[in-house]
Amino acid sequence: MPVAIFKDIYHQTVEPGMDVFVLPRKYNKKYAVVGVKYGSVDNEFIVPGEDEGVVVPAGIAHFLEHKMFDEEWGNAFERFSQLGASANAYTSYTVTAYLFSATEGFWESFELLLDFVQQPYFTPESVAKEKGIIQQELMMIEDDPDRKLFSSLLQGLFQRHPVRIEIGGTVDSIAKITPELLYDCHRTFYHPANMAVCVVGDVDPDEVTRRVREDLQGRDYEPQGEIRRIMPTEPAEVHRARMETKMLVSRPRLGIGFKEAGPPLKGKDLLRREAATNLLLQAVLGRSSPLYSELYEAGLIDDQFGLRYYASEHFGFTMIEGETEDPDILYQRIIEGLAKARDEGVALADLERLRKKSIGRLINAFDSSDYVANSLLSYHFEGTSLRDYLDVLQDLTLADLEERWRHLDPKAAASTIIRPMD
Amino acid sequence: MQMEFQEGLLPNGIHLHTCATDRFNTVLCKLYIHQPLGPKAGATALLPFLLRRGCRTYPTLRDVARRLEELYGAVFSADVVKIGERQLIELGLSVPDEKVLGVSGLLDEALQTLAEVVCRPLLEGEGFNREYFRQERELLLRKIDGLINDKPRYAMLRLFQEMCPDEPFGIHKYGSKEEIEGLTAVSLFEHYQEVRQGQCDLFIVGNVNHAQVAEAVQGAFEDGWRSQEFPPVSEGTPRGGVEVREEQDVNQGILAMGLRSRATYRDEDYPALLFYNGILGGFPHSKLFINVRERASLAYFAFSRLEPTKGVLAASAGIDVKEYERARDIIKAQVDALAAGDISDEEMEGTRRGLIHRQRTVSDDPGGLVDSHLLGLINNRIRPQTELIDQLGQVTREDVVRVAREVQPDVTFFLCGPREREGN
Repeated sequence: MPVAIFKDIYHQTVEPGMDVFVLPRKYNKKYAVVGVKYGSVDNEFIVPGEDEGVVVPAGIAHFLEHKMFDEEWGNAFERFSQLGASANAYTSYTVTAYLFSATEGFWESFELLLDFVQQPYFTPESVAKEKGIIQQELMMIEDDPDRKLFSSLLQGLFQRHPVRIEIGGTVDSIAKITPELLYDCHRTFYHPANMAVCVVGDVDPDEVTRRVREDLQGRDYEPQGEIRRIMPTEPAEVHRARMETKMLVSRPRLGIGFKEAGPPLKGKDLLRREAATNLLLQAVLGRSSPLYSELYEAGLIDDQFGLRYYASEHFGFTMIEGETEDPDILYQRIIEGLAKARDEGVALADLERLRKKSIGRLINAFDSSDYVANSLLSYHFEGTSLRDYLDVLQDLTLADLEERWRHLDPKAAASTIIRPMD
Repeated sequence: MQMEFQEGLLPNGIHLHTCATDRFNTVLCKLYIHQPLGPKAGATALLPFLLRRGCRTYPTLRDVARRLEELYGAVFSADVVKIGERQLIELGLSVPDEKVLGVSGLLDEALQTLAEVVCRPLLEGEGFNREYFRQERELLLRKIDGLINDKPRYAMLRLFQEMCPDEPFGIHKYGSKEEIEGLTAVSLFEHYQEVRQGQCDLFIVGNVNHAQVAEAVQGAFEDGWRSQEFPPVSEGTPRGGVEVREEQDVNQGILAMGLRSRATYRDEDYPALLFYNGILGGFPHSKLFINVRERASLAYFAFSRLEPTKGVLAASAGIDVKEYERARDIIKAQVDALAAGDISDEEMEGTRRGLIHRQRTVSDDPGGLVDSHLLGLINNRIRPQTELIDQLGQVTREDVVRVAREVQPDVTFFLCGPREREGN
């Protein structure tokens, strides 16, 4: 079994708490990413050392990600570009990450990366200017039917959890962002104990660790207490079982979501839940399922039809989405098809075939340094690892899959339809 | 490490290109069938979707899907691509390396599956299976209707249509709805038989042996393929100064400005052309990003891209509809600045490093290796990575200005919201 591909992943924790991961490989490209366990859902928290919680405007983690590139001496994003490195950053529900790839002058860019994420520099002018740019980013998302369907479905599924809010916030929420608020968020979350760095490429792991250690030694961090994130209790019921909207699209789109109602999980248990749900979804509605063929042949779905389960410690959801001529009929056929599949159960042969597929896809993804580096980070922040994911895939049982039927309960479903403009 | 393709023309007529490397844990197979981009573009576009729908050995969608899952989740892709004025059917299959899994025969089985799909389609009477034909034709028509769903890409394709009304380059890779609506299961099968006698290139990247793969491909694929020559791209007339405005119900306006360069992939000035595009809008230090986004705060995205076979460039930005004139003037000023030689040392050197970085990373990605080699084949000019990197190291500001002076403005396209929304 292909565990050998994971054998070279190196991990060490550097004072005061930065986790360092390195996968040496003989590529020309060296890829580095610094992740912060801080995403769009972390809107309410207690700053270490204080008693009162604060609520910050939606979209601030993403706004901070944009503004971190500003330095007193200039712009770090342009600087990477001048060094010949290709830099980027992203904010998810739970993680903010800054990354670059380089084929020469790697260490200069690496030091720049470590430095700029720890050096906030915000002015009222630069914050005001960024609002114009982010407004255009939000407008772009407004015109993107895939993103729109996704965010609308989350709004339908969740009543209180901040995953229901667009990662970038809204034009109104970002208007409230100030340099002071950005400094507060940076101080709270951008502590090495809440961060990790990962490098994939032709480098010596000891050198990576040494550079990280030297960088951190010069910065006088106090040990940080626990960051207390305040998450609302999410009721089991969905917010709105059905939502409809119109936009410029060629055909209607249907999204069906199921909200995770199980208890919060971490580590390998969370991975098992994630893998089991994804395999169950594929068994009953994936390309090799009878239901998929029926829907495809009836002209109700096309090859862009998608299904996926998203897992995090404090929230989880399944998303089924596609373009269709008739969203109402498709909804009905999927719900009926799921009930029928549940009665029939999953065959062992199907599980074995899908297990093979998942292992093959993991090996395939492993060739991408970008995938490996970002997965190492996100699995680490959820208290687990890529290696655990392979273990879980290898010993999933039919009982694990059957247990997940509880999650695909039509009573806990929400749907969204986007229809073309008249 | 140098990654090179070993070439061979097999007895069945397939041009095999293998790149043997132990860098990856997967083996990528990509098959291309060449067609001129022209009035039969829709028929050609329908073929890959219809072929993967079912074949004699795996007659149903479900049979094909199960087969791929058995092959450790082989990633199977089917589409057409447009490179310059060439249209290519692209069928790809990627499987884990047998040695990583400790199994044998996986690559042979993958090639056999690919061959079944390409060479042994499901037939009915004198044509393709009618039901599959009907379903896949409908889905392709929907794909064409759906091009509006991705606004930035839609703006780009509309720009090329407006720039090239009388050149094949103006044709979309999926062809036109009118042509596709006129197809039948029989007429499409006739087209397939012609296509089956065309130029076929098969690329394989991974831990493989050329001779062994050649034997497997020769055994799996039927013969009848033959080498073909294609005309170079057509000459066009730039429509400088023409502005086309299209109103749709969008929140964000998308501006796409077309430019034509004299230099193409085939010319000595190609490295300088890469610099031109890089300095204009290829990077975060480029003129478009700095001036449209960072200085004027007008856009989230502002970039330029180059189609090197045709020598066409497009500068694009997503902006507030009210800001059209301002954004257009700023973009135009950047084009003018390049032609006037207003290029700083930082812009030259940052672009040089960025372009060399991109070239070096090509060999870290199996798909990138294939794309880069295919581009060379289509242009009848193979540019080995080391050679291009070397040339990028030597480009001077004068070279870039020479290319810039021959860049001609073409159509400016603007996708925008209804007029009544302006002025709010």
